[in-house]
Amino acid sequence: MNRKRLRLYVVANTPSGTAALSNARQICRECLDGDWDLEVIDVVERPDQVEADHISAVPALVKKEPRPSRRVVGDLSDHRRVLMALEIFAEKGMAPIP
Amino acid sequence: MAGHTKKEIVPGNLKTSELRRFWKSRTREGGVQKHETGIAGFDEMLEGGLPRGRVTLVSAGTGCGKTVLLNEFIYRGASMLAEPGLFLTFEERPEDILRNLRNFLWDLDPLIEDRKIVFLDAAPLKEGEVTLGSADWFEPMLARIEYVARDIGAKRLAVDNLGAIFLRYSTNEDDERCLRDLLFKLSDRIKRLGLTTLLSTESVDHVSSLSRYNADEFVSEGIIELSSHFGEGAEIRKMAVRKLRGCSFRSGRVRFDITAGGIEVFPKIPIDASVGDTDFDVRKAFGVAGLDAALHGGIPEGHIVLIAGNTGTGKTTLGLHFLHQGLRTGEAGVWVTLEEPVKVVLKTAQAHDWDLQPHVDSGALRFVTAPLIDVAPDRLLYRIIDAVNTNDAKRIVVDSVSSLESASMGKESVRELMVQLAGFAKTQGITVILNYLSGDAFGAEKGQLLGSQTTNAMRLSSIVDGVVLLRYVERGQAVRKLLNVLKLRGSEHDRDILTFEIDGSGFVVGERFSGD
Repeated sequence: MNRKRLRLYVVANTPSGTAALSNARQICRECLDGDWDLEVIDVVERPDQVEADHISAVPALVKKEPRPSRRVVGDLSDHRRVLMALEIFAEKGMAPIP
Repeated sequence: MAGHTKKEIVPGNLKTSELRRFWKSRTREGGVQKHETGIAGFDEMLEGGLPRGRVTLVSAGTGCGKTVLLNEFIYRGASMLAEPGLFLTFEERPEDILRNLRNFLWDLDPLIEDRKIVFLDAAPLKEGEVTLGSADWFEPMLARIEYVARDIGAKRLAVDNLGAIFLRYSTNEDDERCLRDLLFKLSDRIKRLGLTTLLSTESVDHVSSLSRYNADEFVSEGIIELSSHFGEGAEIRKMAVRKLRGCSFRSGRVRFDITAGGIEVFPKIPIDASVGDTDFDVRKAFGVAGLDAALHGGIPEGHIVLIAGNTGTGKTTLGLHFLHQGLRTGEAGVWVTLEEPVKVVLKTAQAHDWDLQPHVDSGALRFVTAPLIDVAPDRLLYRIIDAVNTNDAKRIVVDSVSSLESASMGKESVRELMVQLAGFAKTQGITVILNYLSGDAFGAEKGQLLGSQTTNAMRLSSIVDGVVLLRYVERGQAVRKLLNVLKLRGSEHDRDILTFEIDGSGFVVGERFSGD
């Protein structure tokens, strides 16, 4: 039971979806030491999840746990900014928020 | 005359079901079908409704009522026509929208509970969402619409508003092409879902915020524009259909109001005056002996007669004579009072020993009032027709037409209103009196029939069937009141100028005026 969960919403098999997926995987692997679970959801396959999470645009990377939930929408290529927006990294420096 | 429940306002005296059949008869198989919205007057303007299964753009400035229109479209469908609907909001949170809608007399909650109306919340999160660069809002939106639409069997969709989502997630240089493609794809996908859709966009000074991308013109098959500006004392709202591909519609700007019941649109009522149902042999008397004699029995049924006269010459009293005579003989009437409050009219009648209250109570006499600031002619016409429809009136008095003119209503629109009223009355065999205040303090020099300022009254003379003139003359040391029938289309009438007085019993017409 992992308490650190990320969820990525994409449209599968699109350039932006593929790029987002590779960015998200890289973030998990390189910045978060593989400590986080990454769940990938294709909006076309799972519209129910899209509705339940009120996703209004993709790619969307959502921090599900720990609360509070945070999300980043759009370009995920700046990993540091992504992690700051998810409040996993503090504003300055690279240290994870305890 | 029992049971005067408020009837729905129906243009041209057609009942809703008849209208539906009428518009349905105008669409051809294989052509674009109309989808009745259920919004008062809106379907009439659209000649039956929105294009079924298509996307129609609603372009409006802020505060023009587009969110209300979209919501009412969904609400009427779910409440009146058993058509579930989706409301997708990109801007306001559903709970905020609902709070605003609670001021309307709409029973939304059960419909939301039963999932006949579903709000899709795509408004920006209050916190916790960061947007980096551009993002694709199209696929998630479509996925959600498709998912929920299938789930509830939706027939209607409203999206509020496209500009908001587009500006929120799009930063690309090639926005124009991008938006056009998206809109094109959107209407294509929505068509496949069979959803009749209203899609709103913000506009500034009638220019849609999206039109700089040439998008709305390019892609949408229908555009409705809402606008509003401040009049002297009220907000004046108008809507116009700019385009409705493959469909007929009523062109031109049309007034609408937002009331507690929702949106009410007042399109011009097409009246075919050629089907006039009148009988010149049937006369409508005033109950004033000398005048009825001069009219050879009264006004022919279905005639529109102008009573022009100076202040204090007794136009209102003569109008009361006319209605009271009708009520006494079992004919219902409508009094359009634009100058005096209803109570004052009733008191004036009381002074002549005519007790109108029982007729008011029974519904045989109905009053139509209108604030004389920013008069909406079409709305006034609807009110009159509405009143006539509820009590089957045979006599109408408008007191007075001149007050419409002095109340910031253009002479042209007054004339247009009178043409419409006359057309309506003729098709129903209703006889109408129009009171008109003519300007001169004292009628005319010797040998001169009219003073110089009666020209406006005379502008109306082409649409009226008769003119009765009331005036003063100064002769010797006294002022005398004179009356004569100037014109009475299709009928004999006396040409004599008659003297008259007004006493406790009303008009008393005397002998011929002898000139000097």
